[in-house]
Amino acid sequence: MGLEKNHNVEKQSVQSKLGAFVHSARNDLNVISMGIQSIEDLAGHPDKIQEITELIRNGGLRPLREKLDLIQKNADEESESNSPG
Amino acid sequence: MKYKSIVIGALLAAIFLSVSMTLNYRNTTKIREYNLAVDRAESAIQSLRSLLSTVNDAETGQRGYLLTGDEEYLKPYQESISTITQALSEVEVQLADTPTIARELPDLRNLVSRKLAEMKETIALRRERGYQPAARLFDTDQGRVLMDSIRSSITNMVEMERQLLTSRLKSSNDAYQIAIASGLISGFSALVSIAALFLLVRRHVDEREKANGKMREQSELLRTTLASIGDGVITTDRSGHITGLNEVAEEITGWSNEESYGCSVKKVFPVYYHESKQEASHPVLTSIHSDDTVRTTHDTQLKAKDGSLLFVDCSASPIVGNDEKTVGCVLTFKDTSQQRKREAILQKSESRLRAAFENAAVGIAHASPDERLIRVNQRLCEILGYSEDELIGRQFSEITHPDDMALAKDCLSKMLTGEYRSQKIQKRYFRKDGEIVWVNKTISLVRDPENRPDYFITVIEDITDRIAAQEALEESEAHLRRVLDNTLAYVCVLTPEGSVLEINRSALDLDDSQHSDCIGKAFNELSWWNYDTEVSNRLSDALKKSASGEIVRYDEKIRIHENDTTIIDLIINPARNESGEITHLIATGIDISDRKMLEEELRVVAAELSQANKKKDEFLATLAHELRNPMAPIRTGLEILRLSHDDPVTMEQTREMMERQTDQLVRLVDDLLDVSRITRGKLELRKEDVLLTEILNRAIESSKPVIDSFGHKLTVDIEGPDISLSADSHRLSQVISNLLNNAAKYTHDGGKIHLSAIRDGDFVSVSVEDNGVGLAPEMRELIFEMFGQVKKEDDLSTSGLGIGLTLARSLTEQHGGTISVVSDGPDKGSKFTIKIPANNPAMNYESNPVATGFDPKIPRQVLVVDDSPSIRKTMSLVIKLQGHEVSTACDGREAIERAAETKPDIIFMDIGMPRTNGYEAAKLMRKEPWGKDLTIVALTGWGGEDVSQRVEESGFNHHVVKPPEPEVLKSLIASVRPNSISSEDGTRKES
Repeated sequence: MGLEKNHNVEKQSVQSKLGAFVHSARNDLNVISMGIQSIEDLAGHPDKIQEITELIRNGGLRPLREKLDLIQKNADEESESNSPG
Repeated sequence: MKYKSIVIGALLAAIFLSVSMTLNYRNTTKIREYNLAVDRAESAIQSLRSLLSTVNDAETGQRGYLLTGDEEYLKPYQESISTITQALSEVEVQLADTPTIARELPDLRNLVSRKLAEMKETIALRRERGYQPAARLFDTDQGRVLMDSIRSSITNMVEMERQLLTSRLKSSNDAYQIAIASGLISGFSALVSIAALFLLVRRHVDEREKANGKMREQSELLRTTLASIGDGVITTDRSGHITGLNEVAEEITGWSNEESYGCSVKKVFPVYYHESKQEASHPVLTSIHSDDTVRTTHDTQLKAKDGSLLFVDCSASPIVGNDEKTVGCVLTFKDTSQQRKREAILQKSESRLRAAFENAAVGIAHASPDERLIRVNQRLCEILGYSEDELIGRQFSEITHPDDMALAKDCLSKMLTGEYRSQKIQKRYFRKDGEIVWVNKTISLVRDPENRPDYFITVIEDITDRIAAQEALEESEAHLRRVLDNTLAYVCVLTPEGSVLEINRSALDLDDSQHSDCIGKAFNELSWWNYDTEVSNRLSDALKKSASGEIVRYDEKIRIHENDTTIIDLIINPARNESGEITHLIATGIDISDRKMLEEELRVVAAELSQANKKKDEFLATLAHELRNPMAPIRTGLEILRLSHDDPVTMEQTREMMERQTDQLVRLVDDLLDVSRITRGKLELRKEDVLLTEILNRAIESSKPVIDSFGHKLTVDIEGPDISLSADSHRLSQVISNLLNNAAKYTHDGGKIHLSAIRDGDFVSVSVEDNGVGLAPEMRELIFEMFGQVKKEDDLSTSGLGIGLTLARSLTEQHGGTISVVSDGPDKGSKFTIKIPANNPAMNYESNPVATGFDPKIPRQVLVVDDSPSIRKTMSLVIKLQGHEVSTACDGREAIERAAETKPDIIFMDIGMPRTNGYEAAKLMRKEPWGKDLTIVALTGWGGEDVSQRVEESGFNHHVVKPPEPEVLKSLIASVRPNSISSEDGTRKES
């Protein structure tokens, strides 16, 4: 019983983390997606493309990567704590 | 009355005696008179005879002398001559009372005188002349004749006197007889009178003695009473001098009865006015002077002998004697000092009572025997909601709840009949505002000195809250009882000594015991334990330990009905009160026989859960990895774009690649959200009638890039006419897409994937078959589990989060279908089939018409609201590149200001923003004239039904999850009328 309860708690923890991550990631994806869409119409405007690629990099990819790094770190820590011994 | 009888009797006796005495006197007098008359008659006769004798003697002497001449013979003559006159006088005296005889006396006197003269003459002749001359004269018979006449007269008189004597003797005798008779009669009467008087007097004396005895008794009683009554009593004479003090008076005044006797009352009983300290007019003297009762004022004080001042209450009354005159005074008094103290205390007490009445925390009322209110306190007014004036005169019955009326009447009736002196009932009243108030009503009936009902004292306590709490408590207790009875655990409440106080249904059902069989019984004597001494002893030890404060827990095998046994997890927990004392032992048993049997299985489950944890960790790692994978090419693409020098072909290829990677990222994120929804049971379908081909085409379109990326060949085979389904087309296409993606991932490059669909009765079967890596038999179920990804040797196996098939099964089952997989084994490919209900073939299905907007080429005024500068910038750029005018705002407040300035045709607004969030901003915009028909789109990272509902309630027209599909963005903008804002009045134009 206790094991199942612990398992449920952990599931809820994972779900909560996932929900927060999804919401946050969508903002980042919104930047990436909109940026890529705009590139199609920016042919002939290399300065604009340059500007938008920087925006995608810094406003979309970087924050998303930082979130993933955090998830990875948490996963590694939990894995270590769950490992026997 | 009796005294009057005695007087009358005495008077009668006196009269009788007087009469008797009078008669006796009269009779005696008569007798005496008669005797005197007789004596006089005899004396008269004697005198007459003596006279005659004397005359005879004188004649004899005469004759002798004559004859002899001897002088000697003259001596008798001479002696007679000397006495004749006296004799005649005596006769005359004797005959004085007999006139009839006395009338003869002169004749006699004459005769005698003549005789005497004759004799004298003859004698003288003889002497002088001698014999002869004298003889001749003698011979003339003159002398004899005279003598004879004298003799005759005297004889006659004697005879008459004798007759008179006889008569007088007779009268005397008669008088004597009468005197005897009257004496006897009067004596007898006197005796009778005296006897009667004696009897009366005796009777009177007896009564007097009785009266005296009674008087003595009363006197003694009075004395005892005076001595025993609580009041002091002083008696005085009419001059105010003390004649007596009772013991109380002695005690109060300090004067003894003896020493005060004769003293002035002002000395023994000096009185003063308390306030002025002046001597008060003395009630005794005032009473004597006024002949009236006098009372002292409340202010009067007595100065006792020892000088102490005592408050006294005096009453002096005159003592009236038999002559209706005041003969003295009686002063009654009491020492009221203590009474005044008591009155002061009583007054204080009454004040306190009055204050208590008015300020009591409970309602108090005085009511007449017909329960009409006479007096009420403030609290009662508050309880009933009426003012005091409104309550006075009102009957309790007027505000009594109808259901309690009979109880109240019965209560009053029993009190009025004397069955009860007071009663306590619980009833309801209607407050003035109509609310019901529950009260505890204590009624006491006060009776007057004649024991007639005088008034009720009613104490009313508002227990509405308590009743509510009690009901809640009862409900809670009942609930607890139900819970206890319905809980599977066996619960017993014990005394610290181990006796059963309460036991729940589950415990009773163990051996079909009755509740009454167990209550009061020693817990360790119940049949559960007493089948084995060791078990019973173990329990006894446990109870002792628990009673000493220890929580005892152990597994025990107990006997239940039909001699079966079971194993329970027994916990004996000491329950303490607020003081920390152990008041009860709570014994709880849980049947763990199943648990014991499952323990081994649980150990297996634990191992599995451990594995699940491991999978979770792996999932998170995979998640990070999977999301990083698309990011790398995007980042590379950005670098290519920077170096492409605006080469159109390179730019387009790179952009398409980046777009695919971005889509992959979005799918991964969406899948993550679905995982969350599935595990929480919040994944909901939006079913509609939809054609199978539409679903398959959407799935193919979605998966085609993935399939193509692996160089697989996709074949599609749909048999028969198009099939209508009642399904969530998006979710069902997601299922099929997941199967296609799964086939693509687990098939070596250049493999074959075959999608087929066929109607199967009321169902439709859709299969995705590949010639990929296949499945070991033990993996056929595991792959549908969360994170149940099949490990493969090559890189392909690591792609994906391992949640696609989990989603596919969940979504299929939610559509009322099933999902299955067949595989001949590793490297022999696999075939996934979903089977879901189909609509009736005869059903006429019409596709939803595609919504048409306005001319998309006409520029719209668009407002982008987001707190992320990157989003504002990229969104603005994309929308501007579509030919529209864009303004931005960083939060809801700025959005309202910007919208008021620019009058946008459509607003894309985030939800979670600082200052004013999207919900509030949308609501405020809708209140503005320009915002009523404005199209507002919620563009947020949050999805789900709950968010959509709140978005709609806040006034948004659409809810789009980030990032928006390019077509969605375009169609939304195209759906609004361009330039829809009137520049003149700020209101929107009609579409």
